[in-house]
Formats: sequence, C-alpha cells, structure tokens
Amino acid sequence: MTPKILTVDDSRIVRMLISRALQGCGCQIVEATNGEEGLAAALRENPNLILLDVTMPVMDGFELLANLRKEPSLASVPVIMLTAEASQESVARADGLGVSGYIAKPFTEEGLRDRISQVIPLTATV
Amino acid sequence: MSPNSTTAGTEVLLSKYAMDPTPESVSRLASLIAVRGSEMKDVAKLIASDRALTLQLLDGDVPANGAADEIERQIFRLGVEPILVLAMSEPLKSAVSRTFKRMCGIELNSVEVEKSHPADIEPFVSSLSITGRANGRVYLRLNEDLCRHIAAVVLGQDAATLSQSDLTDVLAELSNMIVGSFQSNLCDAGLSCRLSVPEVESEVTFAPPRVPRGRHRVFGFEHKGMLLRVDILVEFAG
Repeated sequence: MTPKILTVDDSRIVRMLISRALQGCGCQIVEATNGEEGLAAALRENPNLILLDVTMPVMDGFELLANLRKEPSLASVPVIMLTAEASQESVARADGLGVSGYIAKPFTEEGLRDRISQVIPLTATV
Repeated sequence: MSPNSTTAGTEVLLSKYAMDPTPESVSRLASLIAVRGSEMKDVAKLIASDRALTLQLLDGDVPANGAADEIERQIFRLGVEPILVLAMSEPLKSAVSRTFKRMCGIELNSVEVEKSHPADIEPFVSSLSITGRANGRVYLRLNEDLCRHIAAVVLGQDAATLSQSDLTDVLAELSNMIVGSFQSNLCDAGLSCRLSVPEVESEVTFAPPRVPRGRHRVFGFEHKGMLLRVDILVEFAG
C-alpha cells in the first residue's frame, strides 16, 4: 500500500520543497496550511506520517500535536517536526509529546528523505 | 530546561534527533551573557582568551604575544555592548551561511562591506525586529541577480521566468529559516528574544533606525560576484 504523508506548513515554498524531495519515493502527499486544517486532514486522510511545522496561524504545530495525541484514532501516528524553531526547549517539548523525529530548517532534500525513511519505507529515488 | 548550557540531557536529545550540536559561537555568547552581570574586567579577560573574537573586536590591531594585559585594557575600554553585538553576529552569520548552503547549494564567501549611504536604493530587503533582552532589527539586503538566482534554485525554474512574487516569497521563506535558527541560538545562549516575521520589500530606500545606546554592524557575503549584506542593529535591555 502506498504510504500517505500529511505535510502541515503555512509556507507554499516549503510544501513545494517537500513534495519535490519526495517525488518518486512511492508515497502520496496530502497538504494542510495550518494546525486546524491539519487536524481535519489527519482525521479525514488517516496518514502514515505527519510532517509538522511549529509556527503557523490559527493553530500552531504544538497545539496540533497535543490534539493528535488526544485523538484515539491518531494518537499513534508518527509525527516528524520540520521547523525553524529548533531551540533546546522546543526539542524537549516535542520529545515530551512523543515525536518520531525533529528536523531543523534549513534542511536538505536528502536529509529529509533519510529521516522519513527511518519512520516509513520509501522507494529509493534515482 | 536551563539556558546557557548544553546539559547531558540536551546532548542526549540532540543525538536522538540527529540534530546539529550547539555551535561554538552560541556557547561563546552564552558565556558572555553569563558574565555580563559581573565586572567588565571579567568580560575583558574572557574575550582576551578568545583570539578570533579579539581580532574582530580590535580590527586586527592586537598587540604582540605576551601583552595580555594590554589586550584586556583595550577590550575594557570598548565596553560590553559592542562585544555582545559582535558575539550575536556570529550565530546570525552562521544561520545565513547554513540556510543558503542547505536550501540553495550556495557557498557564501565573507567579504568586507561598508555601511550604506542614507539614499541607497536596495533591490530587495528582508527585515525583522528583535525584542526582549535585546532590542533592534536585522536586515538582509540582496541585489536582484542573487535574489533571482536563489529563487530559481529553490523553485527549480528558469530564473528568467520568475515573477516578482516568486522572488519575494522565496526570500521571505529563507529569511524565516534564518530567523528561526538565529532565534533558537539566542534562546539556547540564554538571551531570550522574540524575532518578528520577516517583511520583504523591493526597491526601497534603506533607512535603518538609529540605535543611540547600541551598535550597528554590517557584514557581507558574496557568491559569484552577487552580493548579500546583513545588518544587525541592537541595544541591550538588561
């Protein structure tokens, strides 16, 4: 079955970069632009992995993460934080909420694929 | 989590998520902030032991070996503010270089630049405010060639086909990444500040605010003849 990845980021540039990095990796990408949309998309799409930004309008990444953990159907979905907010305090907070990975922006496409492939299987790119 | 230090627990977390270790420049800034409340002579002694920082502070005019007391006296005369601004500049420069390298595959080279003249028109300016224990602004100023080049790389498109909004969107996103990295470093160093969302403008007259009690530093980067200037204006709230 094709793994489904939900990317939640308010930047169209970042969403485009993620899609490009994962092109040919055998996964389906679903996008949301803030935490509220992300929660709705997660409930609707039942993704295999969520890539989550922190600073977003409406509902930020930490609030979404806390909501995901409270939702029985989504509590165990792996989440990788992909954010420019990389202070030790933020990493510790995310760790406390049980994230599967933490990627600090700026990121490389290769680095992103490597981290994701540690959580879900990806097809090798050419 | 206590700031100003990389504890064993922090090391475990950074290792768990394969994150970059705390940069040396951040540790140095943390050390300076930690002693800031002490005597200036302690700050001078700490700086004098750091040759790279001393060279920058004294513009290379460092007495020969064996004149440690004279170096400390020179640093003492400068006062603590320029030292802290210089120390803050290092994590900012590092964030700029890392962002351009990772997102655009561009190796920036440091170059000497002058402060701009009041009437300078800048093709692209990204600016943001700093508030908290330090107050001020940061500016990134790019010529159009560089802005177009980075946008083409990031978007994977021909530079000639890009619109003005493509250029400003990419610059805004790269600025966001620089800001996030810089702010995280300041926070880890114990200098809690809030950095605003960067605003990108084009064809503007560059008019940085005055910082009567602070300092304005400008440093430059170059890539294949294309220029990026970064200004940091800061005064410390205490």
